[in-house]
Amino acid sequence: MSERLTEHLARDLDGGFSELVRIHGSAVRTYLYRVTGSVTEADDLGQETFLRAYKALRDYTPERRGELHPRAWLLSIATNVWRNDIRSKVRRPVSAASVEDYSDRWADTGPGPEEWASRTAEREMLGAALGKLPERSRTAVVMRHVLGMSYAEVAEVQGCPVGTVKAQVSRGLLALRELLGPEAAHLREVRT
Amino acid sequence: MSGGVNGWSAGEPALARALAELADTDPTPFELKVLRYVGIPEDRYDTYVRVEAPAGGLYVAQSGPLVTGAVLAAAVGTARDFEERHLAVTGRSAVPGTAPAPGVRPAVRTGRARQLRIELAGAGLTDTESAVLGAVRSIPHGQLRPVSWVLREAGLHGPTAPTSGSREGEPQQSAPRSEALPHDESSRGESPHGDVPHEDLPRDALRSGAVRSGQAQRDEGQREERRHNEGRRGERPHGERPHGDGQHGDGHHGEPRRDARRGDLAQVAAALARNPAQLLIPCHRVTDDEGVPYDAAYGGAIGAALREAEGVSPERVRALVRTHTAFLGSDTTHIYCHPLCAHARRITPRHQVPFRSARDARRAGYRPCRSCRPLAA
Repeated sequence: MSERLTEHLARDLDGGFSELVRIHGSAVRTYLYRVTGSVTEADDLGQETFLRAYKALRDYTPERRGELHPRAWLLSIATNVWRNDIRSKVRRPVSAASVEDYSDRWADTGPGPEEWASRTAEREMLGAALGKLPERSRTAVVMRHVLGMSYAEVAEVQGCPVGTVKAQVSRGLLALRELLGPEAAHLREVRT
Repeated sequence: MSGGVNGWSAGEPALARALAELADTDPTPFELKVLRYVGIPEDRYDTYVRVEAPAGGLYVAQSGPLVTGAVLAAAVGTARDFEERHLAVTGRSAVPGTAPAPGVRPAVRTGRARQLRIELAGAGLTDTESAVLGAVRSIPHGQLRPVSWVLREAGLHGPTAPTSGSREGEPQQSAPRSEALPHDESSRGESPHGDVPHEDLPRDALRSGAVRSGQAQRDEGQREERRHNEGRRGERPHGERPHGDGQHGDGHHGEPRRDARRGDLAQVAAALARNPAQLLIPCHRVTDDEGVPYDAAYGGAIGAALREAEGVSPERVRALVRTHTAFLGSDTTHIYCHPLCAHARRITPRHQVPFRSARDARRAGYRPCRSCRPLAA
């Protein structure tokens, strides 16, 4: 499927780019949402990511477009866009302040919240905890476990050896367990 | 259900959080925002939405005001599956959009999609398939038509029609779909049953038709049909032969005719199965000549649900098949119709006269309805 996509990109930039957005749009957005912790920021940075991707593709030869690994390529652009954004705005990740808030409220809800509600709360706790991880671990964990990418693909995005990525992911999961504390005991089985 | 309601009171903070999340919802999907932000021309991609239809969701893709494809969720699965299928069929990427093209919602709600602008150029249909689907579009809401009717309305019927191919190049079938499709109701008789008496034939003559010679009857039938065709000429593309000619073939050119017919039927079946705008092009209103619905693209259960939503119950369809009621005549007007024609539905039970074929009806001295046009069978 992605082979067809790169062929399409090589042959017809605008049509292939529409297909690129259709197939990988949600991965880019999910990635940015989980590393920034903010939906609106994910939308803004995601649009910026694709704009950069488009400008780059315009200058690539058809051969080069045909050889892309689109998802890994897009996520490395997204990572750069996100880092630049942090650097230029000196902005703390939005979610950093919210872990305690949410765990307090979560405790308040007592014994009988709906299953979906607890699941939502759990997701938010987890998302907030992700925001506290160091950059490299965070991006590695999100790509490996949120997007379900292979270590090899993550390594391609991070620009480092596979072994390094494995270490980043395992350190990240360790740190997440620490951050989540005893309430999230059942999350401890997350495999590396 | 009750759990959901109770859950809110139990989890006050959960409710507050859920409400806060509503603010995050931007009505424009991310993919569409990206394509607009980057400045990809709008004609390079399609958008699609899911609208609720009688048999579940219907994914409708569009380019500007034109519908470019529609697939029932029951036939395709997830939205992602629909996107893949749309790409495979049309070669165009479809991303989630915000609203359906104008007229789509009312068309789906009412089942009346004849005026909807459907662009099928990208679907890779043959001219024959386009002609068939164009004919299918003219089947009215709540009615069924046999495949032979579709063939005739599509201009494909007749003993000289080759089984495939060579007619496809003729100009009348390559007319742009958007022009060929919308049907002009007014060009047909205002009141097909009321004001078109058999002016030159006293009723007695019709009644005694049964005792006249077969040849005389056939001639009369053809005259009748030609007259009918003359009246409809304006709707038809130029250069088309009157359909009455097809009747001469009866019994004379048996073998080639049957072969041609088999080929035609196969083409109709293929066109129905490939219907690129399910529901909006009402293929669920097409039956075989025994009255059994085709439902090629999505199976009988969905087809039955679509028909039921138009007031055509499966029991009614089965009853028509069981009793071999291809046509229904009225013994007060001596006009015969397709059994679900709006005019046929008005015939009171004691005046209903079922017919197995148009020839039976003609022999009994009945003329075809000018609204549902059951000329041949």
